[in-house]
Amino acid sequence: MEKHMAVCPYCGAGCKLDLLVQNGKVVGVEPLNGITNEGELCLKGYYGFDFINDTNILVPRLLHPMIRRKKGQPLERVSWDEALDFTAKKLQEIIDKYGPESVMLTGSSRGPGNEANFVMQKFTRACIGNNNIDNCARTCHGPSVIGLMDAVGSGAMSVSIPNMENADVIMLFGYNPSASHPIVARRIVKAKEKGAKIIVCDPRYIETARIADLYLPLKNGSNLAMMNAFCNIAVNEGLIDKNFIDEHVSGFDEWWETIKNYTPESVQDITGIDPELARQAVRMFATADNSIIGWGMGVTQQVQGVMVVHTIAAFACILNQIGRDNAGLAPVRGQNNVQGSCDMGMWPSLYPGYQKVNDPAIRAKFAKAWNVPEEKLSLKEGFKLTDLPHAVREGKIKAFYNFGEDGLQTEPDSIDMKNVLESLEFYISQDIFMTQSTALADVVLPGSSWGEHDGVFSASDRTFQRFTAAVSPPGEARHDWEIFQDLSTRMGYPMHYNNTEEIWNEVRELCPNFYGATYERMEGLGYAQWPVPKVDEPGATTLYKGGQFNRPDKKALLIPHDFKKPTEEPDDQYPLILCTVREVGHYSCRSMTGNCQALSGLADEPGYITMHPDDAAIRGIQDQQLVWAFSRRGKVITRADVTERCNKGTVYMTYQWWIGKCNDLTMHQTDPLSGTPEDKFSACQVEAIADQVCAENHMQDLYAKLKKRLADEAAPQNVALKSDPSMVAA
Amino acid sequence: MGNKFIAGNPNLCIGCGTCMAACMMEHPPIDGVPIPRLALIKTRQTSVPISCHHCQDAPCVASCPEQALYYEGTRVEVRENRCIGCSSCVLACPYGAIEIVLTTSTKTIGGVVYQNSRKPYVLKCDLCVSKPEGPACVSTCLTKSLKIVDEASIKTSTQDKRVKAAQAAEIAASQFELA
Amino acid sequence: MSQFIVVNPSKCIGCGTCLLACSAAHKEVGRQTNPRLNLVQTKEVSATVTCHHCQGAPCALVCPVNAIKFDGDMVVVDEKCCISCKMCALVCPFGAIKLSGTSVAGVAGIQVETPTFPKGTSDIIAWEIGVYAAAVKCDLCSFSKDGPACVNSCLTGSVQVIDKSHHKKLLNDKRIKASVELEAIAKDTSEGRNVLETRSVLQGGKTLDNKNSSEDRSNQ
Repeated sequence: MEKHMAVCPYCGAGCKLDLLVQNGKVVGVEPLNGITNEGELCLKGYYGFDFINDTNILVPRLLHPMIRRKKGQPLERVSWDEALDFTAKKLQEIIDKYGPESVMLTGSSRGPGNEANFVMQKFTRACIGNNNIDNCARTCHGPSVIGLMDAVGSGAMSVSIPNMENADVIMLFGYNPSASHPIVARRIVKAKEKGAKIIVCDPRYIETARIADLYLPLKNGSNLAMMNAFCNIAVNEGLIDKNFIDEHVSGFDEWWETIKNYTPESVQDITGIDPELARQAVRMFATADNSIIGWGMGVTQQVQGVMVVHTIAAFACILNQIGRDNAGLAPVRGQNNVQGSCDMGMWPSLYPGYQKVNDPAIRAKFAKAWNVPEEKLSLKEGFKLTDLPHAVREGKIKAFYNFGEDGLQTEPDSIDMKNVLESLEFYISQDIFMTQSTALADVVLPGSSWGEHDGVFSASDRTFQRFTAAVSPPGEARHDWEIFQDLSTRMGYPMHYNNTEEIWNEVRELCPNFYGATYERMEGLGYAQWPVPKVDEPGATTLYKGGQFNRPDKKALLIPHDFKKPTEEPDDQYPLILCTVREVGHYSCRSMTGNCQALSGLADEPGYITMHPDDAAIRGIQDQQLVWAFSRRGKVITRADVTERCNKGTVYMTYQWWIGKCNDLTMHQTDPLSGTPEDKFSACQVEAIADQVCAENHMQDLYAKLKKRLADEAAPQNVALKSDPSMVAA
Repeated sequence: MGNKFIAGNPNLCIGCGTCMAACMMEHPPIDGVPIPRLALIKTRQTSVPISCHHCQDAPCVASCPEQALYYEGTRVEVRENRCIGCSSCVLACPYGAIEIVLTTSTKTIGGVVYQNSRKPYVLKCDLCVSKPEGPACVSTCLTKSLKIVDEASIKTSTQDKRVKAAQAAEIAASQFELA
Repeated sequence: MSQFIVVNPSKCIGCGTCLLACSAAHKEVGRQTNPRLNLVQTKEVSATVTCHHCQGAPCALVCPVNAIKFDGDMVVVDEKCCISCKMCALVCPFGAIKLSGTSVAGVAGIQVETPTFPKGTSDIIAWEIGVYAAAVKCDLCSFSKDGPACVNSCLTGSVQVIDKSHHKKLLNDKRIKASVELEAIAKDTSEGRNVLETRSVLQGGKTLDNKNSSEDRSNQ
């Protein structure tokens, strides 16, 4: 039995594990004693590997390149040469006709790793010539990246995950680690065992609320009012650290002009929180030696996401609960390499290493390194992923290169998204599975999966860790970075890397903060936590030590905001608030976990809609029954999970399900400051279904039909190429 | 002799279901379908998995008309071939820790079906008796919420409590004297 | 899981009303009148025993003429096919299926002198001249839209029918109760130690999970 060291491909905790290989197949997983997971894994880590083996439980692996010569025709298997020449030609035609700005690309925040992303953004900038490169952080912690860069200088966790267990107080604001990062939830449980106090602010009674010392049942959509009130309490009760503010924080007086109006009494109707409870929470957080505040999608997927992040940073700064090992900010990044995507500059306004695209000096540096004239690299901020729908409709985006994403599943208003993808002039999708999004593409390129290539992931807390290949890619699947460099070469910008380490060394040269992270240093259980500018010095466990913020004046900035109500509030027709959340046993678009036997055995379509017993009773809905859920955008069948953990008036669906697809109901409304969708708040209604037997049959039928449709779409890859009679069918 | 079973600590449980996945995958599937033998329960206040207590005077053993359930040392064991799927054990168990799963098998000779039989299976925790490393749920639980409780551990815990109580009594007595 | 009749012995008063109701209901539709519940009265217990509609029913397995079959989850005796061989009665672990009616000698109304055993001796060998021979067992009164006659007639509410949804709820309620007990055990602590910790407090009270965590990082 061989063992190959890897990092889990699911959440951003960054758990180290060994892939066990026998007879060329991955047969199991063993945990390793990584710095963050300490020999533990969650169910996805243990049992989320068999998708590599093309189990066909949900959809087939992509094995051969395919193209659609004309829109509306079925996919046809072709050779790599033909696929990439076809792609290069079509892209060039579009660039010639509409300009380089008309091409949009998106990076992958999962299996491919940092090196593949780096090569893709280099292709985007040096070959295509635009900054239209983005990643799924746009729908996730984008507001945290943007908000924290504004307020404190770096858009990342300021503390490390292991140190979360050493805090005296942990406040979770709109964050459910038991579902999104079980290994982080483990740290919180350990903190509690060590005597820490836990404060949970969440509309639902999440797992952590059960062990919380204070639970604040925040009303959905009231975040900014609550955070402003917290800040108000902090100042009015004299809990702030005046010396720290004088030395390290700017903008206080102007900021207070707004915050002074937000007494907890004045916003009680909005937040639903008893002012005394709010005061207790602030006192607990403020007076502890070391407090950490963690937040997640509950903050970021709302229309005032960036503003709330500004205020969370303000709260930590005025209380001097920041810049120490066990005190600071914990926006725990979702996916296993979404931190990496941002680190690698898969961002319309940033190069790798968080260097700004509109900075002429930075542009000059990259132009020189990449051997292109400066004018080739655009100074203009590019399109965001969430700009795609209206930019396509306005004719600004003609071509879209989708890399390892399933936007039809994960973006809001999926019915509209389908129309958008179908109306593209040219659509390339590079993935490992025939997903719903890839099924619409004109060019389908099979990439190698996690487990089939080497690379580096960036965990949520800025920790670079290496992962290695355990088996070879199947069929003709190629490493993603090889595909990009091949395409780029065919389009006139040659790239020729021999392996991922070469690519990584180029990243290090261009990003001073990553320079100390060599492959050698990350060997085995090694890791490097950025900023790590020097090879022979440790990386930074903690940011902002001694109150040194990464902003130009080295101070944190307090930015005031007024509360605004969410966009689509419930009404008579759609009286329930719809909030989309996460499954613990499946991940994101579910193309990987849905192909794993254990994980799909534990949880399968149509998924659940969580509702409060009162809301269910009025509608005659019983627990576990199938129901209709619908909004102004669409209607789906799903299963009722009636529980007291849910708050009355709101229903929760997870975005993993293809039949019970909550994104058919959500709407495309974004935070103007970040472009992040308001997934956490829209209006919907739920209806009981009388004939349950008929409903179950219907649901199974829909599921079977979807699987068949996607299998059929991929079927051409199994037909041998006519041009090569010696080639055997896959 | 005491019984041995797996108990979960709701203070440490994060409701992730890793124990269920491990249990499913570490036992042979039934009719090709992997099924867990512990049930994760989530009420408002509590998340914790429930599994067989291997009771010393097990109602399930007493209720089984075919003696498909029997005692093997400190465990309640199952003779699968005797189960007739009458569900008496399911009703008898106070923990809801035992379930019957029905499978059907079709026997053919030369493509002709000569028997369509129904085979019920008793599904309950077997303490992973065939695994040298012990219960899969206990080893995979990332917060170490699941523990094996047996006579020895109960004795130790009980003794600890008595020692503490005795120590407390001593302090109380000394204070009392001073007063 | 199937539907079947269960009885709560603490409410049963041994009055036999269920037996009569069963017999009458079946007589009305022309079926065997031998009641399909069996009242047992020991020193401690009064209760009726009926067919469990076992999912792997041995009676179905053993019938040589395939008269006992599954109709969905219900085990059904086709009284016309039954040859009254008595195998099902022998194999049923509950004694819930029994023989009824006449022996071969009494068929077609021809009265022949045959030894007749009193019913009280054994269900299996008693017979009634003039009534066709067949195995009888609880059929959940599937012919009636009012459901099981025994359930409707029981004056103390001791006889109940249990089905899938009850079963699921019962399991769930029991598990919830068990989770409450575990919660109580976990709370029964000082400093977080409880019976679920297997390391003795006398050894310094360290938790089982003794790995280093933050120490490694700060020494990086």
